[in-house]
Amino acid sequence: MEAGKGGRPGKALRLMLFASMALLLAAGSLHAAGPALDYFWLALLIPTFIVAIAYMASYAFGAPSLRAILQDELVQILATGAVALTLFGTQAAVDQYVVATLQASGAAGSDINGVMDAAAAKIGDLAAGTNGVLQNMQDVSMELGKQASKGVFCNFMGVGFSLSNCSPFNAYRGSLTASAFTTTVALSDTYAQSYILSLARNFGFTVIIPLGLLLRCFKASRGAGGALIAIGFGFYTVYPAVILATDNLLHDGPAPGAPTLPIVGKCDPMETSVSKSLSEFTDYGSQLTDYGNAKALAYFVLVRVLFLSILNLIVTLGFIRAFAHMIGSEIDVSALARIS
Amino acid sequence: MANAKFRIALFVFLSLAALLPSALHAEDLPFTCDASKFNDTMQVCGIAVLAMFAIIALAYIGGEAAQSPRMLTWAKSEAVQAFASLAIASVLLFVVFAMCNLRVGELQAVFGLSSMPKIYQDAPSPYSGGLDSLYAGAMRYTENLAALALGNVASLRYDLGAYELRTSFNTFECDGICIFSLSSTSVSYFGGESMNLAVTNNLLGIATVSYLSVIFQYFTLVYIYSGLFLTFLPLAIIIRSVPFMRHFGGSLIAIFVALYVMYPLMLVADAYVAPGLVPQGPPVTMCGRDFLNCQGIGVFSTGAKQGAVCSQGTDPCYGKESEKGMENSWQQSAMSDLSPNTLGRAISFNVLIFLAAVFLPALNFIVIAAFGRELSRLLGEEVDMSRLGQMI
Repeated sequence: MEAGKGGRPGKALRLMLFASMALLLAAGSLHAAGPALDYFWLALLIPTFIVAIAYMASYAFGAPSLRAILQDELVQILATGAVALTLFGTQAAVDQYVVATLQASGAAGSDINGVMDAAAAKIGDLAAGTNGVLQNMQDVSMELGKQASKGVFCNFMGVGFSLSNCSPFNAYRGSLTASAFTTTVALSDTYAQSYILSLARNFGFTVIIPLGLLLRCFKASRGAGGALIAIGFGFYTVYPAVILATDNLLHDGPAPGAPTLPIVGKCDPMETSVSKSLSEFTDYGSQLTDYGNAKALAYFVLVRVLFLSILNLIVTLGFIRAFAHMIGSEIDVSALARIS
Repeated sequence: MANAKFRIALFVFLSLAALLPSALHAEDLPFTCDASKFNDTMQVCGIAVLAMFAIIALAYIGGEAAQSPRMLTWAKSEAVQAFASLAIASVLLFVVFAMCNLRVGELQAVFGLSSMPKIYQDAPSPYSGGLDSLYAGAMRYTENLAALALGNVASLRYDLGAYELRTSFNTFECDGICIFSLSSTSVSYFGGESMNLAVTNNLLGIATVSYLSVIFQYFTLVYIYSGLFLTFLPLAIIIRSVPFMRHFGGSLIAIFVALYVMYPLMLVADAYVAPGLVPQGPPVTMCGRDFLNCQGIGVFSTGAKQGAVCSQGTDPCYGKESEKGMENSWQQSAMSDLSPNTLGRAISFNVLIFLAAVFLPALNFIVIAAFGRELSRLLGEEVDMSRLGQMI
């Protein structure tokens, strides 16, 4: 790494300069790849020029010790450039693989151009399914509440009685509310995933990662830059890939859809026969707690939506932390993990 | 070698010092960008540096008088550190000056974005079109988000009120012969909404957390703007000038930079990325209640894309404009007219607010903590700022 004799650049430095030129050329090809990647090469170009100017200044001021530091910084810029190329290459490979796989299985539409599109479509399906489940529960609850509240009142000569022979249906309302509560959390999760994917799609490769690359090129902001790169790549590439992977690994073939709960029939408050009321109550109970329904509901809401959303976020955050560590940034993602 | 270092330090210092007076011309800016406060801080920093040089001079004179090479060496090394402190203070003030003069609208060009956030575009005159400074821009975003989070709480509170009224509404139905038989049936048509009541209660809990998180950020920002620059920075520079407290002072400076420079910067970045949370397609709808006039709804929109809309008493949000409208509701038709929001729509907007108010700030603090740790290591002792993120 040392400069050559007489203060002239040595072989190692020339090699680095050559590598940096190659990197800039490669970055130029990223620029040509599309407008979304303009800032990749700009993020590398700015620190390279700053280091070059500082390097010239070190000769002007006769400060060889500064040159050693700048050579280290140039290595860091090269490393950052290598990280940028790796990210871009990985993203392209993942997109290609996912589209090819989906096309082979006949699941890809013309609007699926990469892993992000596929994951967004998957989350959209889950959100629609969960919303349907919640809507169904609302319909069931509305009718159940209405029927269970029915009663009859009679008064003659100051003597009266009231009969609430439909009220046993209230027994199902608590469990239904608990189920709706869980479904609400699941629906919140799917919306949250959808919003995070949208954020990553809009700003991951255009703002967050280029800004991270730029910051990573400077010593004082290396940690922040590494964190941004890891967060940007984690949510742009790893998160959608994990969403697709976990959902597809969960079942063979097409995923079973969400079930529809039965709506209670009409209850006659004037009915005085206890056996008839009891029969209506138990009949509806057996429909509502049907094993097939319960299993399908638990599978869809608890496993496919809730459990997987937590798993997806945990895996992504784990990757972000490990990747940030790999590129020289120690970050604490526990605050985000708690959100999951 | 020593000459070269000295020349570099002098060159850097003079370059930055030459730029500082222009900070006085930072126009019409809040808090620390105010010229008088800027001057005060510069004066305190100057006094700290002069005091430092005086101590070094005394030590040098004492060393010469006592013929103590140890004291002379100490004085020389401290002189270099004094210049370092001066350079750090100059860089910091220059950065603050730059932050005061950089406009939020300019970030649109920096990142090559097609449009700027609506809250900046439609800001009151003379700041419309992105003319806020970065500090004012961070404050404007936080204020708008806080207003919107409060609007969301009001919307959910209205829904709760409506569900409470509707679930307790009971009708006695006369089938025609009840006048003679004195018998009738009763039914609660909205009794099943007790499920919605429980779910909305949960949503209100999340909305409250979101609101508290934004309010926490708002007051943190107020503290940073009003207290940090005027007291914390001079204190940090003075402490760094004290020979045996150098590392501690360096750490304080790192904390200052992380909070005073990075935090507002990250909030402005949030303002730019928040509209990106909403996917392509129809905008997310908030039902505006309680006469809050849908303040802050522009947080999720840009000049080119409307990410969120607020509906007050019109499609798809009918019903009253606030809980006050519920006072005379006693007929079944009046109960129907209360029209609480649908659960799906309420959940969708609630999650959006949660992500903007809790998720994005958590990301901010991860980056800020990483930056603060690196900078503090560079300037002195390593500081663990990740605890700040746990406030979210």
